[in-house]
Amino acid sequence: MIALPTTGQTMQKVLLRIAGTIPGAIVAVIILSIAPQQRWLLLLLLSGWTFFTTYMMLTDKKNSYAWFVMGYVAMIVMLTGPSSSYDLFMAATFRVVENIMGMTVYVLISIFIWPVGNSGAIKKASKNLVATQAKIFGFGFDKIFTKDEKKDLEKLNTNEIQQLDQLKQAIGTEVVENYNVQEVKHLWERFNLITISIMEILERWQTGYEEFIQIDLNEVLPNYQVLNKEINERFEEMQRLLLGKKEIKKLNDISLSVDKSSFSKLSHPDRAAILLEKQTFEKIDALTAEALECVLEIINYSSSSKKATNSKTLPSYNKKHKNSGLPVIDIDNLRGAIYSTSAVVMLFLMWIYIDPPGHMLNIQLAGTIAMLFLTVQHSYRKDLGKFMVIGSFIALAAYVFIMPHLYSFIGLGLLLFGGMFVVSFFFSGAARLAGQVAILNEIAVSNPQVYSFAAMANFTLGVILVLLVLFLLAYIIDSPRPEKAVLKMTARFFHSTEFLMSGIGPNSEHNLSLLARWKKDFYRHEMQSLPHKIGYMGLTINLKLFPDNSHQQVKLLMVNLQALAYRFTELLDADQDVKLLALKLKVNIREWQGVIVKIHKEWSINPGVELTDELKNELKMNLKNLTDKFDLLFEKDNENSLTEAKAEIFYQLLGGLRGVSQATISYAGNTENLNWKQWREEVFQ
Amino acid sequence: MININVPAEFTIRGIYLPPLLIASVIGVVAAFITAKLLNRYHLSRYFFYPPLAFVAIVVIYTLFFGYVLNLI
Repeated sequence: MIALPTTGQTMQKVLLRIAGTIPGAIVAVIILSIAPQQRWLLLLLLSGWTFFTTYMMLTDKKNSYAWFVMGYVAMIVMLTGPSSSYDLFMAATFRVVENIMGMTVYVLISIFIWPVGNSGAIKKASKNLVATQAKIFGFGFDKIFTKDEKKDLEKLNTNEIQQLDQLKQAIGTEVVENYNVQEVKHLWERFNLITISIMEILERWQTGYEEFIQIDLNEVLPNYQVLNKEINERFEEMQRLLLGKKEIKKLNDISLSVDKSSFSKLSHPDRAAILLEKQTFEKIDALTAEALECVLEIINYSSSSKKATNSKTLPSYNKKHKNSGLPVIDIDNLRGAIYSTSAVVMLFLMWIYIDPPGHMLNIQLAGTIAMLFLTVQHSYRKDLGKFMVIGSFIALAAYVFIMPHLYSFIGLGLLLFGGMFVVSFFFSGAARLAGQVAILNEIAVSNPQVYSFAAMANFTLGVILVLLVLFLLAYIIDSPRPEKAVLKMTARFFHSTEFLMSGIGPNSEHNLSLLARWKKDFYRHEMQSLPHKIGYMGLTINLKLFPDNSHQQVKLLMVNLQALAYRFTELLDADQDVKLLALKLKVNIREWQGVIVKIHKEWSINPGVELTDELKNELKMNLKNLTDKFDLLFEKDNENSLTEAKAEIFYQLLGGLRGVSQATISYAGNTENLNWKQWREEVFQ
Repeated sequence: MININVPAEFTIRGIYLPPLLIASVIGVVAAFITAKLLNRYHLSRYFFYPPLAFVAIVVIYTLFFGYVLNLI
């Protein structure tokens, strides 16, 4: 279970497993000590622990495996280890010691007998990632200036996400096996965070190309090309440094100034777009400079063996927005925790009142498999369940018809080794995992070796029962079918935007209770996290059953929702000055807000509702009224000598409002070809 | 004499299997085939909730095959 392709990966998994096994065993001892003879109290504590570890497993992605082990080790120690509370401590200790012993043996093998190093993986992953981000940046620039759309941006974005994941993994694994890398771990982690910020800002940039595609940016922002060249050189320099070449480039500080005469010739909405573009470009500038500095620091540290002096912690764009200061609940993770807890409770009750085949072991199996199911997609779960049943029956047949005829341990060893080899070499994914689990269940070698058909058949039936309960529960708690999940999540997305839009206003932040601010944080989290969840889930929709909507269309849906989320975030994060300005436009903003809320409310009930021409026109009219009002305010303020800072505030607000309107219209236009009705259709899966 | 149809076990190389197990295995396979056919001819949309309908079909088939096996 801990065997992974490289030594570093194996050691990282071993550390996480140990980090999970020890607390899991301790918790088991504590729970059984509190409730040795009280089954309902035991159930309460056990389900509480399962709930907590599952929620943490889904939330804390970095230590996900440790939380998983913590959850199931406690169940194993409590339910299958001791025959009574008398030998509980011994069972817990043996579980920990045996596990550590097994892991130590494999670590020694992976270090001395079969070492596969991970050396240079971080630099390689970083170099590839920087190259992809440079291409994405170049794509945006080409699209704005040369209107070239030939490059496959979607493929680049997918590569970027994969490479970010590779970098994260490489940092985790290479750090374990290389002391020099360990010393600069904090710098690599920082670099990783900066690249995530670059990805986010490039994503936001991509969603806004259309806004200034008609404007001659070279004229309005004279340094635009110079800064673009500088940013490109930074990307190139980072790649060179990561390849081990010498530093040749120094950072240049180029400010992106606005040419006032060209700027004044533009309409107010265009000016707002230009200022938003300027802000985005400045963020890209700051982040790439930070990334280059970070790489230089890593390289210089490695070559001069000096302690890194970087005291910075996180790039500012990574900081999560929290109004209330309370932890924000993720509803999908909460649902996952309810799922695994319900499985444990249900099998516990079945054990007490029915005592079906599998008996007490079913509780531990249910909890473990439920936690495992939560880390994979529904289609994989179905495959895993199917192969587990098939694997269990094949293993049962081998146990009954072949194994009793083996008269030596060599024969038994050959059978198990052969089985494991066939499963690992010829199969992959769910089939491999299910096969390995089925074989592992047969490795209960003792001297003399005794075979019990009843015990094995009991176990097999227990596995089937547990899988049945788990699949039934999945449908009771929430439909796991991907197309239904996409529909629900899209509706949830619009429910959150509707809620957030209703709350936008100059006085909205004042006098809000803690609960109201927490609620706002929750909906903000929903809005920001749902587009990626929808994209991830949507790609598993069975195209044979729902042929009208391609995966390409699902990606388009995700991109549109992402664009909406960015625009809303910009508006929500507007400065207090902007909100004060909104006071002056109160009536017009309320009208505009009303239309947006109306549209999003409709989509929160049915995401496929087409935007009527009437609503579209109403939205455009409201935006026009707002722009006219801006013109009036501008003329009035111009007479009172409008400062540059104040003008920027005007445009920030106009840009925010315009961005939300355009993203809403764009969503309606891009998703009108989706066959929502087909996704709603009931089919057997 | 009272004539009662007592369910008989199935035996494979000396291992006795309960008739309900055989009936349920056939029931699940038959339900899968039925579900595929219903999907193919777009009849599944007439069910309120196919996952639940599938369980119901499995139960119906299991009872049916249990009865038929009992007759054999």
